[in-house]
Amino acid sequence: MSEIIWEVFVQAAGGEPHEHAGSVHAADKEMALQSARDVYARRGKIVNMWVVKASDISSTEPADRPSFFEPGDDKAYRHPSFYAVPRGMKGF
Amino acid sequence: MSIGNLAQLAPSIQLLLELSDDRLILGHRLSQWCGHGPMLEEDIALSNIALDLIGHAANGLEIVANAGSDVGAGANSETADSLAFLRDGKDFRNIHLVELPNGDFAFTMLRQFLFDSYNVELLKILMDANNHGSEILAGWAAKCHKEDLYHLRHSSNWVLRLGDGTAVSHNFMQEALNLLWRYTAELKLPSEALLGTLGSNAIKLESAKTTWQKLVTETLTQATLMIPKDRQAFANGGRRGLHTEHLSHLLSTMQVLPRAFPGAQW
Repeated sequence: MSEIIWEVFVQAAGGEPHEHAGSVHAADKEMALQSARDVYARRGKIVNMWVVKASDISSTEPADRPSFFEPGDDKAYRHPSFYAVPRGMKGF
Repeated sequence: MSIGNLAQLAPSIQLLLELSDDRLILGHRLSQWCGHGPMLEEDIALSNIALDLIGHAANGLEIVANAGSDVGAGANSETADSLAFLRDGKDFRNIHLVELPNGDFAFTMLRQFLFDSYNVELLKILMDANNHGSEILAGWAAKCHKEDLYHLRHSSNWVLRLGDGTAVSHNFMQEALNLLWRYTAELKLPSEALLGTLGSNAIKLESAKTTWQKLVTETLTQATLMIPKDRQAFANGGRRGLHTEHLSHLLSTMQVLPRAFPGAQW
């Protein structure tokens, strides 16, 4: 069986983001969902699940870090940290 | 609890004993895959299903044990544990299909598919208390049905992929079907307890069998497998305590600890 690696994303409640849980091996997407269910959903608290072929994910390389991310670090005026967050607002 | 005393129990309780024994024995068989699965993900899946089935059995046997105490069926009151671990093979009411050794992965998966597909239909009838008047049985059946639906999805996916996979996987699956098909006669054979539980609603078993036949035929055809025509059933005594030799060997492993160290705790 050709083994493909699938990345698994799980959602803890409706409206919450899907978060990366780990990965599974499977030959196709239905089996990947099944394996993901058995490996990552067996302890409950999951309402939805995605599986994505690991090879379909485009990722930055460590070498990209200086040009991709670091320019944002020293431009504090771009950071959303100068606003008073209204009381009662969560998940901001 | 002796067989004589069991006969005093209501048919719905005897039925719960039969169906719980199916799940206890099949659950034990699946648990034997733990650490031996073809890959980590499947190893966990098989153990999950084993735990589901053993959980159903524990719930069912507890109901049976309580009902047995109510009619004074045992000098010492039975518990789910005593029914599971201190009963002899001749008092087990499971069908032969579930006690067969696991064989290879294809054999285990096909057996699971045959079991899941029929039980999903049977439980649909039992989870409606209007069909038999027992809320307890209906509640038990509803919990099992929900989990069996997932088991069926899992097992039918494997039957499709191995049957319609490579030449090697196809041959393993076809050989499993040749060996297992004759055991489906007992799977569908209604026991005295089932007929007694359903009464005039036993007619509904016919449509369950038709639905099962259709689903199994469609799945096996899609999996490019041939149902053997020359492999007819030759025995069906599980519900009467007549088992294959495999059950004794299974029980010797499953029961050795509670029998050697009664009341052991850890």
